[in-house]
Amino acid sequence: MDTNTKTLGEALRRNGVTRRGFLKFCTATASMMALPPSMVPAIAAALEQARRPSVIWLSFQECTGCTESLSRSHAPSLENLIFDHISLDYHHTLQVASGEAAEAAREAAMHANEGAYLVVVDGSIPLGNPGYSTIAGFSNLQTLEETVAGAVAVIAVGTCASFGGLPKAYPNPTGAVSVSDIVTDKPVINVPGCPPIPMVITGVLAHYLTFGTLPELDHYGRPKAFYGTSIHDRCYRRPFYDKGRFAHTFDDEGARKGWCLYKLGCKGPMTYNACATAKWNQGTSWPVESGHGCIGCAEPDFWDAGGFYNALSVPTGEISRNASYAIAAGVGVGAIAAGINQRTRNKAVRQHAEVTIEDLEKR
Amino acid sequence: MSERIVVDPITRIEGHLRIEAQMKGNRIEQAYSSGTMVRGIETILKGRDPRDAWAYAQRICGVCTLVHGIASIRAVEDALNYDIPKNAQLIRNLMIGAQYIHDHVMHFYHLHALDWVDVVSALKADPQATAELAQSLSSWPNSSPGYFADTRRRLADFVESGQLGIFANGYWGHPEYKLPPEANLMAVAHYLEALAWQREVVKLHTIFGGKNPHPNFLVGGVASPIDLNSDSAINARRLSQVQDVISRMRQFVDQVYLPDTLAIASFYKEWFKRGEGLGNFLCYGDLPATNMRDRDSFLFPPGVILDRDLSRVHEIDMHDKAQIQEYVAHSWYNYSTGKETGLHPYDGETQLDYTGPEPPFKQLQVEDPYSWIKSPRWRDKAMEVGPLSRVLLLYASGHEPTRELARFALAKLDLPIIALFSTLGRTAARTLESKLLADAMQGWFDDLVSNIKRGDTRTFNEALWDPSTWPETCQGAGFMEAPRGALGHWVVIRNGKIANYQAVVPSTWNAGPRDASGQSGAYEAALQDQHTLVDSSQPLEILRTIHSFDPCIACAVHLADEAGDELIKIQISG
Amino acid sequence: MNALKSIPVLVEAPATRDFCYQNTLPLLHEISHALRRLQQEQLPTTIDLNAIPFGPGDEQRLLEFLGRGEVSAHLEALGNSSVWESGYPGIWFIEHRNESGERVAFQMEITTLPAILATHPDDIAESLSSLQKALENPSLGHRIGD
Ligand code: SF4
Repeated sequence: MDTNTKTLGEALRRNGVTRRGFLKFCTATASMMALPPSMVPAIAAALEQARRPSVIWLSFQECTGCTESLSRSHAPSLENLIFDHISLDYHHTLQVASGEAAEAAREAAMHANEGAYLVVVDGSIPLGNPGYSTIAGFSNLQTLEETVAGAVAVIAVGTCASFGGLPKAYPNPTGAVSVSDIVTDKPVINVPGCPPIPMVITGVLAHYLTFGTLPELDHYGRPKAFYGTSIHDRCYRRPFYDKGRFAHTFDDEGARKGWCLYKLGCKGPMTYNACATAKWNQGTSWPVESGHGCIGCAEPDFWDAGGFYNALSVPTGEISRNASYAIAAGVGVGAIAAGINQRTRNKAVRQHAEVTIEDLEKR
Repeated sequence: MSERIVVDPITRIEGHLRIEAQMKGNRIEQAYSSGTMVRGIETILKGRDPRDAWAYAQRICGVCTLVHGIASIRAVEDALNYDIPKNAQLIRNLMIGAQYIHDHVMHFYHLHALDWVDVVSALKADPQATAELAQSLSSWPNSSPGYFADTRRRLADFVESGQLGIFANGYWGHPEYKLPPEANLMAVAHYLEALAWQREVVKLHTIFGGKNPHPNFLVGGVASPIDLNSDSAINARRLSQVQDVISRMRQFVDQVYLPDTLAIASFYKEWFKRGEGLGNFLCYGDLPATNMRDRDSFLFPPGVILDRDLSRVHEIDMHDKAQIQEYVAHSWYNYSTGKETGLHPYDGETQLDYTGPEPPFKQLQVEDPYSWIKSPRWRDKAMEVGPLSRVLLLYASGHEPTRELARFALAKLDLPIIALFSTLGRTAARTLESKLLADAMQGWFDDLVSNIKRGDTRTFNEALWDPSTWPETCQGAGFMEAPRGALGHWVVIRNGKIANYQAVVPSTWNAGPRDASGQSGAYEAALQDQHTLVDSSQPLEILRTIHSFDPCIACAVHLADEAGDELIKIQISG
Repeated sequence: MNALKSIPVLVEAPATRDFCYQNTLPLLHEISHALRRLQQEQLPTTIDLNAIPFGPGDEQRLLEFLGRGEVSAHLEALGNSSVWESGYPGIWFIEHRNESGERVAFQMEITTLPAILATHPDDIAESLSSLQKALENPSLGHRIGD
């Protein structure tokens, strides 16, 4: 690490931040990491000693939506992130230097922080032909392998880097693969979403910055704090689902009154992400609140999981009966559908066809 | 003495772009623009539900996160002859307008400004003098000496930390940086303010589309219903949030973006004399007051300007096969009709055929194919698209507010109208159209409110939602003026599924390589227009002109088709 | 904005309206348990309101329902923060905003006094030593007009 680097505590004090200010900062950090408020003292102790880690951000087959999403983060804001939290040493969209000077910055950061820097990747990696995506004359695979060699961990931001995403959608014209298909000897954290919620990206970075460790991950390599429950389980329209009250088309009475969007194709029951609580753009709204079903964008192969407007598996006529039955048994139908989908998601019928519960049960 | 300068990656853009410049002494003689990434989204779209297409197409680009979604739903609606309610049209206009202003401001401050603004020099600024400068330019409230002193201190702390992050290795101190320290400090402060501002204004997309980036769209209307008596719909609270966003946009454009553009430009007047390039400009037109078939109601008029001749606007017909053609002579694709031929998007083919050097490589073989971008042409002429094209078309077609605004800006800078044909002319045009759009947004919002007041709350037309109501085969084109220029999507629908999908996007027009006859694309031509480099190891001049186009390369390169596909002829209605 | 005002209908959710999205009522029960804990065991509770899946308007209804009490405080550190006691004593709200005015945390504390209001012991020590230093300064008498 650069000897110039101060700890975060020192830096904040130097900027005239008081102890109350520091406590506030820690409170906001806990909230951002989706940790309980009881963790604030531990966060304060850890942050006091934290240093700005070097972050190298690599962009491969991507659309820059993930970076745009990061720029919408407000706690911390991108400007605070850049100035106070991390040292963003390579990032195509944001960095000033181009060409050789940019590559030199990447190499310098790798050299100075050998074994300690974080690599963030957005976009998938095409294996079909090395010429399908190059940077500075190097194939994406070459750049990734070289950069990851001295990294402490890799954060795959967005569904493309996490699971292959859109480029990997059938018929995968360029042979796109995810980061974890290539990087197998380092921890890889998947932060899926198309794009991911900015708070989730910064939350994962903050976790590493604060504790120097990686957050707890689920079987898809996703941080449990953000991907632990389905959209459906935390959706404010869930009471309508349970009562069997649905919007049947856009702009009907149900749609206007905020009833459940299940019949309009909502993929909330099979999608694990934090949209229903974190919401988007500083809590302004989120897809379901703005009248469109969840398209499932944080799930592997969601592009091939049936049309966005086809209802999920549970036979709709049965829902209200099932629901009352299930509630009596202490389980919601959504939870059942979610569980089934979770188990068989990878094998889900490839595309176009409506996925039925029978289809899923067969597998 | 001939040297080849390679700039790869070009940063502060969307996507992957490589520029190679063949030098003659310190002057650029030939420039080569290469898109270096391909995904193949059109191939992926085949066989899908046309109502789903917007989501796939939208992921062509996450910066102009809305434009491909809109072009896609318009293409499907055109194919199905699907009318949308007036409110939906107005909401889409508002979302497009918000995209423009957000995109243009972020481009100016976060992607382009640091070509003109020396961050390190800002450390030498006197906060008092900076405050005086800022107050002389605008009534923007954040302009006290204390405010600028804080910004300077924050910057100084950052530099002192030794970890310069995204500012590392910039060409700081380059003799081409001409702003006084105070102007640099003011611009750095606004760089940071614009980051906070943009987080607020994207909320317009979130309100109607649920999130940003990548808000949701809907064939047949918009997904967010209007109901003044519901919490869960567009209601009075939501409308006042939208009004708030529009006011913030107008205020920032009027008080920060416009004055900053003029102030910075006044130090770089020689950049109004170079970087023009083609002199041909093309615009599809957009932003209807009524509907997409009523082109006379468009805010941006369609048309073509040739050889700088503003006295004549040529009509453009997207369906005429003799007009728009794409070439692949220097692109990594094959055509079944031969690599030298041009094809109209109706007959578009795209077979990936990478023949470039095996990575890692140092230099491209520019006599051979050298890019993943094709070369579109209008009547075999290379065209520039984007803000400058739109402003020139508005000007040429006699749009009075544009003329007034252009006169005002040029008078401030003491420049003739011809100065617009240049690197900074392009940058200034982007600012001017932001002002026009911010004002137009207020008009669309007022229309929306009065429509609701009249009792019309419809946002979705259900008539053609069900695929069983569709003809067996149909086809259509969706077009729009994206922030970066003319954008078209073409779709063929058969038995309720997508049989073919094609897109020709703004950065394809601008960033494309040479065509079969050796004619350069817009980036290349602009770089070949009087560019001398002070220091070839710090090619700041190249970045200035390339950034003036606001490249969006993921957009430009996304075409891929399977070899041997049948060619489908499309007829477009309206 | 003027055009907006002329819309005949204005949505004003009455505070007593049923908590239609279901997340507010359980929260109120949770708060009452916390109040009991505070009363019987002197144990404070903090709830991160950002983690509650509120439906549209729920947060506002909750705030209206709990109302505002006697105490409110303003804090300026890394942006503004507001602290206020609700109409139900012992239930406090703490809202933190960053320098751009964006909300970065929103919490409810069920306690006698939110921790952030109390002066930190280290600050008291520093305060004492700087005050003593000031008293030793001979020009002090002159400065305060003695
Ligand atoms: S199906 Fe969708 S809208 Fe309905 S309760 Fe579940 S997540 Fe919410």
